[in-house]
Amino acid sequence: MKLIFRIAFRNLIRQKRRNLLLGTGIAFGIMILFISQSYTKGLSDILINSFISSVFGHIQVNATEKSDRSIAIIRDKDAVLETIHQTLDDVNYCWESVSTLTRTIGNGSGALMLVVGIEKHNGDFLRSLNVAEGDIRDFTEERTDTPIILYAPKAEELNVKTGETVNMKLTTIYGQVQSTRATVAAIVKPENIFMTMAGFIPLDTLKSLLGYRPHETSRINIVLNHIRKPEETVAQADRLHRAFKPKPVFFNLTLTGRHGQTQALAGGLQTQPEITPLFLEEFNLPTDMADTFSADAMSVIIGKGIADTLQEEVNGTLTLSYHTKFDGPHAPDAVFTIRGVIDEPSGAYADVAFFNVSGFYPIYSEDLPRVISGNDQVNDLTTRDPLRMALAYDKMLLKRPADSREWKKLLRQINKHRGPGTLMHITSMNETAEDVLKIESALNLICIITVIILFMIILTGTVNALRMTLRERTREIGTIRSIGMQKKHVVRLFVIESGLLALFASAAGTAGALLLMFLLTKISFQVDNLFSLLIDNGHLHFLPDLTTGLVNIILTVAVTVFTIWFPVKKAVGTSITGALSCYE
Amino acid sequence: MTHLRLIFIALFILSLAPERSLAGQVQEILECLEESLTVDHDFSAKMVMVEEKAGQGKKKHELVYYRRDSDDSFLLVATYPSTKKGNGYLRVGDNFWVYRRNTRSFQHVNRDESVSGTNMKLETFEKKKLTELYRSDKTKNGRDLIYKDRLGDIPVYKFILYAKVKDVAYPKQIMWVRRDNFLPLKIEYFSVSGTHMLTSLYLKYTKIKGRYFWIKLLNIDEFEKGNKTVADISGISLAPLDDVIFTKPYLENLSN
Repeated sequence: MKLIFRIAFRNLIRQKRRNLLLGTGIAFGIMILFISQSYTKGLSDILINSFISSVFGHIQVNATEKSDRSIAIIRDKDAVLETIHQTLDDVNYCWESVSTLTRTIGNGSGALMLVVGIEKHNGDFLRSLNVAEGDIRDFTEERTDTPIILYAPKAEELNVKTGETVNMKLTTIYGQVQSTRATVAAIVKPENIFMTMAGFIPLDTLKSLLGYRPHETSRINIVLNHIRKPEETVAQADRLHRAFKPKPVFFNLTLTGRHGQTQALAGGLQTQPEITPLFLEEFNLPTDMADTFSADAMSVIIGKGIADTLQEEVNGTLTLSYHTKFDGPHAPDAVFTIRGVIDEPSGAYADVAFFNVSGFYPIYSEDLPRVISGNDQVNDLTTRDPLRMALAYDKMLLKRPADSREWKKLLRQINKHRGPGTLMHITSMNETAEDVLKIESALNLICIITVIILFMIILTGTVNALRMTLRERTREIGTIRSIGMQKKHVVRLFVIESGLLALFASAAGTAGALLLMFLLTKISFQVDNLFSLLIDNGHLHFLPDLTTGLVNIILTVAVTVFTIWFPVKKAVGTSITGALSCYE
Repeated sequence: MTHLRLIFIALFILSLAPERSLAGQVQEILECLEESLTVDHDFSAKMVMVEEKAGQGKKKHELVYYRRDSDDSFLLVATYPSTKKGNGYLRVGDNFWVYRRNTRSFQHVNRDESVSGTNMKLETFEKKKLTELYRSDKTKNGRDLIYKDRLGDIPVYKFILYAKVKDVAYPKQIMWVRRDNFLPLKIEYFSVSGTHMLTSLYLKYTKIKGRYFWIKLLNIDEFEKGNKTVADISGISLAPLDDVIFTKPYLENLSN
């Protein structure tokens, strides 16, 4: 066998010109294939880990509060972030997604502009900006009131330069008209056509303008450590979904009546017709009380202990005050009417006040109280059937959408939903960025098909040339057979020779591809149209995978060996005299 | 002589100042205003809005306006231009709906929604709810702050209102109302940050069954100078309106 290898290798060197030509053909095909594969992988990487992660994040935590209007608001940002970090292992970073459409007026001209809030410490993002004019430090150090970074086309449209001001009109999350004046800190060149629409102001400033308080935010986007496939985010989103299990709301407050004050435990009760019998029976209250309790949002049912202490009875009124989680003591401007007094033998509800959820939830969500958890009394109340089903929960966790269609359906459901409460849903890029991913898949498919066609053309030509060469060498087969080499050894010799040729050529093609990709990444492209999505910071982005390269080499060797096997067998099958007298 | 001159100067300065400030009357004025502007009778009318934007010329919008103050409903249906024909705005109960003919869909909106993309808001077309939505500016003693003033030759009361609720487009407004019949003549609207954003001038009123209703309104955009919208209401009909008019299916059918 060793001898056959030596002869095969010597044959390769002996026929330099022929093998060089054949090898170049194979190497070129492999090079094209490997470059294309690396480019499509790079493209996916740009879309998944650069574009999608910076626009949508890999996973999104969304909360919508439904009152008079739909408000995208997470009331306790830090609690959500804590749950994210406790649940997911490979979080790269989380960011608050806060943006709004504004009417912006510059020097004599106006334009619509999407204003995006950027954290001043977001060095990665700010460093990635291609500054054409001004100084990013004017933004990070807030040397002026409300600094803004504009893209060059927008600055041109607004007719402003750095240091000049623009006036912005926007709408707060509550629907009120808001306005501000911002000073242009820097003008930057856009990386792609979509960016020209945006302007950046400090996140805290934008949140304040929109009516968010420091502990509130619009949406939290999560960027995971390097993601290869969008499907990887689904399992993580599912885990997070399970972690945000709704909890019944209970907190301590002070109730004030006409004759004094008392401490109580407050909870909310839902008022749907099918729910009210559940708690009225439990509270030993008449069923006809359901109408009065449900009809008036400012209704409360109190325990006997509270009623006795405050000397209040049905139709009396109460005000409340409590300690909020973020802003200290708070006394909402609300008066609740007592609709029932719970007088049942266990005494479990003696110091509990149950509010109609419609009146209770706006107060709870507007100024979050210090919610009690782990308290024995609360644990007892939250496990009591059927009361458990009637309690007000801190949120309604919506089902995880399986795909883009379900996600859009979910958004319609949120839009149609009426009634107090927070609707929370967790989404992954697999659903929210499906349209972008479809572009990626389509580009990948086009790329792969083109490459396969090209590769097949090159390979067919090369292999055909190899077979022709073999026919030309029939006399050589006759000669080596006549000096005593057995048929099977001749077959092995030719197969190994072709295999070695394919191996060296494809390895050279892979190495050449790596070199060419390295050189191509050094070229800078200035693209500000849709094609800018296909490049990364002005450069082509390749993601070579050595396993893929190895698979390419093995496949090429296998195809070559397979193709050469049958002609060799046929040539060896002819008689020695026939082979020696063969002329091509 | 010097003292006499000083007295004259002081009198002159005083003559430039608002006549005097009163206290404790705003609530009553708002109640009278709401009462005089609440039309006890169903009515329908044609409305033409001419929108003027700086550098973009004029755009005309025509709508049909149905209103019933007894149950606080109204319906606006666009008839011109053809691109907006069939779009509608419905207020029924506590809900505001926008119907878009292109998508054949209703969207739940709020009173700050603009009408046909102009600077007229839906709240302009509903029954006035100032006492419900706004509170007056107060003196240090907690009493309403109100001034006697003149708008041209017309004696008016001037006072500042602040929103009590969040569901209003402008959280602050300054009103000038006539002293004789409490009709608003001019309202300046301010953003959350206190910037003067819009001025509404009620140029003409008409009487419907003893109550007043504006028929010419000019909105001047103070944020983007040069933008303004004039709304003219004409062809008022007092024929009773069928209940079905203030429903979503009616608007949908009308649009189709």
